[in-house]
Amino acid sequence: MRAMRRTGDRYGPMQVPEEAVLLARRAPWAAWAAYLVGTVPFVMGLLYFWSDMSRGALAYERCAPAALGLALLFVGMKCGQAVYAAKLHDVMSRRIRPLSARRIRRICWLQAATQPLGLLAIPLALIAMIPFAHVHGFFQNLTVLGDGETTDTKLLRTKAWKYARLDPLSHHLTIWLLSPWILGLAMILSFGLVWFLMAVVAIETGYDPLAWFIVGALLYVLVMWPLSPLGFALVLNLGLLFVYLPELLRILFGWDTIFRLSSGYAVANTTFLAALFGVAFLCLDPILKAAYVIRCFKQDSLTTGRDILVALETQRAAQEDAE
Amino acid sequence: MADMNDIHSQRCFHHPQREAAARCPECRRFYCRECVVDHETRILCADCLDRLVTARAAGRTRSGRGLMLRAFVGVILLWLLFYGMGRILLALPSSFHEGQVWRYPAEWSEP
Repeated sequence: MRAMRRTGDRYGPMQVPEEAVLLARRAPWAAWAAYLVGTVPFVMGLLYFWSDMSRGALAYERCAPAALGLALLFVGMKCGQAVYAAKLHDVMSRRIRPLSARRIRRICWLQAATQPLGLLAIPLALIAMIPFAHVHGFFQNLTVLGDGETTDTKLLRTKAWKYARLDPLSHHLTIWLLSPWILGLAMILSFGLVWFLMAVVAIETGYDPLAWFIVGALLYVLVMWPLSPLGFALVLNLGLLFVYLPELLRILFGWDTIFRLSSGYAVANTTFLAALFGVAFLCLDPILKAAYVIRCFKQDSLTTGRDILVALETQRAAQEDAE
Repeated sequence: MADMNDIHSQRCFHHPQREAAARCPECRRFYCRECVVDHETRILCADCLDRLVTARAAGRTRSGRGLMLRAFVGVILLWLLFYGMGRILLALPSSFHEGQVWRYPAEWSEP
């Protein structure tokens, strides 16, 4: 409460992440379908691109067309996420806005026009750290607000920037818990540190695999856990699953796969880390989008009073059920 | 604050017999409660709202073309970003991608 008074936030710092989980659970199947249809192809495309550029013999010949394909998949992902956010907004505001072909076309143009800059601006802001929350919030708000209701990009940008600067404590906490960008940074820092120790320090001091493995694992926990606690737990669980799944398949079904033959060394493979991040992204991002839907809905409600109408409708429905 | 003080002594622009209830931020004229409307968080008079909507409808075609152009530029920017990422991945040694640094750090360090 004291923190809310100090920062001028209108709700508790944990309220938005908690409500986001509940909202994502209440999302209709159409919202999830739109999200997955947009996002899964991009994640799969990115992993294929990563793997191909990492070890393809003639990958440099395919780099330009593959990058164009990935760019189009990125736009598709942003459109799917905007439709998902629009459906969640409908759930929150208790009204159904029809999703016509014209509106979907508008969403595609809007997202293609506004989101690409985020892929450049967010990592730059992440390096600078201080404006990161605002820049991150701005592009997430554009996903939520660019729902095809208007094509006025100037109005959208103004609103998205205004909303990104409000309720800073709650906003920072939401990003810390749920942002895949922070998870990516934590993974790069922790695995980069381990790589540095193995490649540089281990050579200088003499190589002792077990000792360096223990030091690396400790550093991984120490660096990654404070930076992205939820992401750390997620990546740890997914990593263990990915490592032990081939062994489990062999024990339970007798299926021997190529992944078992790598005997655990696959964890050091960059494609493995990219796959880990991709799956963790698919787990975190829908909740992050739900959090920004809640933030935008609450900010909009300050002028429209929609939250009060929804509360009254809920109460009336509960009363009618009781009678 | 000056607006609030002025309002008490003003009459509606369309209905001189009525007291003013609001001042339009576009034309700066005073109006009664029935002559103004809430539009995108602003209280506007009917004439200004009409002008705004007409101008917006005329500009929609122009902004539609501008939006398409920006979307095209956005896709080109994305293409360049992913192409740059691909070139960086291509430039990294395969021993780094395969994670052999964990297994054979001494060999990896050799040219």
